[in-house]
Amino acid sequence: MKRNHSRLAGLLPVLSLALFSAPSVAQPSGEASERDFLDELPVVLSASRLVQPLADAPGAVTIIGRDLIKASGAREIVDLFRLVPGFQVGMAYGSAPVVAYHGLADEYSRHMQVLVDGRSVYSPYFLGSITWNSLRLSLDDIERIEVLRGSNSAAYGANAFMGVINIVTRHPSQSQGAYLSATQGNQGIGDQVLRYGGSHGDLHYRITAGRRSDNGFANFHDSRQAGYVAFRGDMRLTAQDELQLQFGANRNSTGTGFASSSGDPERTLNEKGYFAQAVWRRSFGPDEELTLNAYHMEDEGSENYMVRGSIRNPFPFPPTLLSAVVDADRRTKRTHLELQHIFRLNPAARVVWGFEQRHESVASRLMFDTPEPQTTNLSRLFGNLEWRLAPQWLLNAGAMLEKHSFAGTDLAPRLMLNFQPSPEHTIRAGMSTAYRNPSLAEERAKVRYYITAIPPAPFPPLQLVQTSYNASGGLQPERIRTGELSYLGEFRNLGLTADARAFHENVSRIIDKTGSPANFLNRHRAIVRGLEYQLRWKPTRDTLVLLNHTRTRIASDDDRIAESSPQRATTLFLSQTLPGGWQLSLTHHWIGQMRWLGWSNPLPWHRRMDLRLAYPFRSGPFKGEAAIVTQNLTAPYSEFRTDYIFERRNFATLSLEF
Amino acid sequence: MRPFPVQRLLSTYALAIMALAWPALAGAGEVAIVMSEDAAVYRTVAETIQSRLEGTAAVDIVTIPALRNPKQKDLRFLVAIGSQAANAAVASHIAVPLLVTLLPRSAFDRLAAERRRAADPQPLSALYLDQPIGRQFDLIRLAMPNARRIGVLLGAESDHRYPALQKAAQEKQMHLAVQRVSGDSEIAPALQKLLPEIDVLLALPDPSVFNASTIQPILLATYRQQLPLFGFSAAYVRAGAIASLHSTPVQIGNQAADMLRTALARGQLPPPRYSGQYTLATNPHVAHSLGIPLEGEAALMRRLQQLEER
Repeated sequence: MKRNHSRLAGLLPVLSLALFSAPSVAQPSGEASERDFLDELPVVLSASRLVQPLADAPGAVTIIGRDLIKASGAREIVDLFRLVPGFQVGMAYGSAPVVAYHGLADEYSRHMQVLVDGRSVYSPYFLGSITWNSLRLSLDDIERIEVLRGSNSAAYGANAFMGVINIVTRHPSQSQGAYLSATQGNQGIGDQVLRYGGSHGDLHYRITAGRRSDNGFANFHDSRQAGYVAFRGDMRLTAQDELQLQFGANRNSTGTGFASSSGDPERTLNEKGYFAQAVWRRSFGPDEELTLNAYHMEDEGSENYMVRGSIRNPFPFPPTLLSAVVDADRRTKRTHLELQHIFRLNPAARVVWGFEQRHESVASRLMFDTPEPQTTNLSRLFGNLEWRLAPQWLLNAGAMLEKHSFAGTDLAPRLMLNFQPSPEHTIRAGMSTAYRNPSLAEERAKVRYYITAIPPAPFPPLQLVQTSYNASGGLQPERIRTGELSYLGEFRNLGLTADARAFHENVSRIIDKTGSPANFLNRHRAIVRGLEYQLRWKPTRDTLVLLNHTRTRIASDDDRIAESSPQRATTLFLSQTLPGGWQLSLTHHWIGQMRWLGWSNPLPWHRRMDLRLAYPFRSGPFKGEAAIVTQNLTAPYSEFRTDYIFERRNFATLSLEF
Repeated sequence: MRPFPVQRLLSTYALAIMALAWPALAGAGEVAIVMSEDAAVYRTVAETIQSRLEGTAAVDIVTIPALRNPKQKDLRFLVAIGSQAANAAVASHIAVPLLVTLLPRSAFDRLAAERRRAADPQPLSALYLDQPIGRQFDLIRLAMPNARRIGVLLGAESDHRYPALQKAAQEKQMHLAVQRVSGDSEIAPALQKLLPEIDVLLALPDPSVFNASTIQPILLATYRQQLPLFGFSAAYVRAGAIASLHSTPVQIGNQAADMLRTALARGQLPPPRYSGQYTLATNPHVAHSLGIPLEGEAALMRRLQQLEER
């Protein structure tokens, strides 16, 4: 022990020397000299920072940049996915946003991987879902969102089943100074963001704190308050090495339950959580890079409530009173370590490969009938070869081998061939297989309510046990086999980008609950076919037009699944800078009839129109913007269930930067 | 974070030792080359000159301390490599013509002014390390035929280039957009104003604007606007600039040797000039990611040279 200690002590000066005397990249500014020409500079646009040109991407990608985020009038991140073809967005039970691509989703939309700076925010609790209310992220901290439409387990592992949403936050050097923003609106909307970005030598950092609140839907107990704080610091260690540290914490409080329900009474769900992430990146040049990404996150929810009921007894006895204390407190943890290496094999071929190790645990007395945490271990090995076979032909061949502690070992391959006969046109054809691993609850749920029954005197009180979930386990991962043909047209002189994707998605072993007590089984199949396209036209700097259209058909042995995506959906978005600097944007959606799975019912066809008018201004050191947004100018429509009525929402935002 | 001055200490120490062991310009050469320090790049320039002048003139290679004790009788020309050596050579008032090289034009202009002030009659000439602005405009023109609007950030060390930039822009029928900055904190707002107005950003050797700490925010901002940065060294291209023109130490050595050969033959130094030899470096990955169809380095270089010869 002592020897170890002294060895460590001996190492410390060496380490600190390595950190502080390494060929420093900072150089005192002063007179120009040959040093300006000869000194090394940090590799800024490294392999992972360079956005892959759309024409080279192994699939259809929609990129949502800062300008669009702002012009869209989005109040929260999920609003942005309404602008992506093939996506459905809704607000489900307890003000939990749900996002789906090509249907097949319930209130726990779990068919999509969502990464924030390489950190998975997919919650392992219950059926697995994206906890959009706990992202610890302000919209203004986002640099861009890359939406990979179509399954991508080959690069992102199981859960990237139908697609991947990659949220990249801004480098702190790009958000220096102070930023304040306040939003106020009807339906209890009140959001605030405070940010400060600074630097200290080679460290750039920003710290953001924010709050979001609203009343949810009228007549429902689903108001929400979310508060978060997030830190990102990027430090350059040497010209080649960069260290990024991120921390974040949040505390949410959401109304849930129903006034009329004794089994699901009105209550408040209190959630809190935090994460810490470190990413070390060594760039050997613009096309070789090694990244080590480690993070840990913990989230807990506290939701203790009493369920009451009664059983009628024969006359003249009063009813037997039933009550149960439900301890729905939960705690989830995830620790993840990932190493990724990007390098060029030769001028025509580039390789990304790496491995990941993940440990997850979920402790929930309600879900597993034990306070003991349930754990999952995951190991992954992945690789992708981007090979330019000929100047016009690009092959992306990738696969991920994933070993899951109870779902077994799977190989998810993907092959995509891009043909670019001229710089304007790219045609892609490819196929892939992807999996979604069952969640811990789907595999092991054992939900037992311990009920106290108080019959009329003289009978003594009784203890009853009612089992509502009893998972038999042994589930196979859900599987999707995709064939796609897509087209990308980039007409730079017209400012026009056209993106069309025809898809055939064969989904099998869909996990669904059945019976009483409920058990999870690989029950259904579905074939999702269709075509979606997006036209993006930016004829001048002041005008942007987006037109999305999707046609989807789902064939399934389950009628509900077959209706889980609208057969047609169209979105038109216009943004125009007016004389005097005013900015006007208008979004119009036409969404065909559909239903969400789970606790939902068929929703009729609806329209929605959003309007945003903004006035950017500058005065001395202050830069700011005043904006008003109206969401759903047209008639009220149903978001997730027919009785969740989305009425007109108006809010105004004032933001200041200095 | 300031660098731990280990390297500086070491080099000072090494120089001190060398000064003791090698106290004077004691050789017999007609040309003496003073290096700013005994580092690889200075030595490459010096040795290139030495080998190119072999058979023409005897060349001694020394470091700065040797200037304190000039005893050489046959010395005809003094060559200083790097800014420090150039400063020391000017300060030494050694009575032979001085050629300075491996330093940017702005550093030379300062030296020349100083020499005039001191009324030192000895001729002074230079081979600049930077590239003429017209050549850089030509490169931009060839690499991106549709780019017309060139943006520059000017700081304390580059402000005086404004007339030359304007003139070159006029000659090449380009539009020049300029933002002036006087501190790191002004760079981001300046870029915010400048970037929407331009097609490319041209970096100039001015450490008050472009240095190792500011290159990151500058490159990230240009990249977000999908605009390329043209740099002035190989390091810029590694960092993420789309292309840069620069002269390597060997090219500088060759050109300096040519100037010296002329000087030795005619007895006087040719006027200051830019290097006629230069290298083009491009970053095809960045170009690809920006959607800019960039020609190969060799082809682009050939076209640039053809244009220059005309």
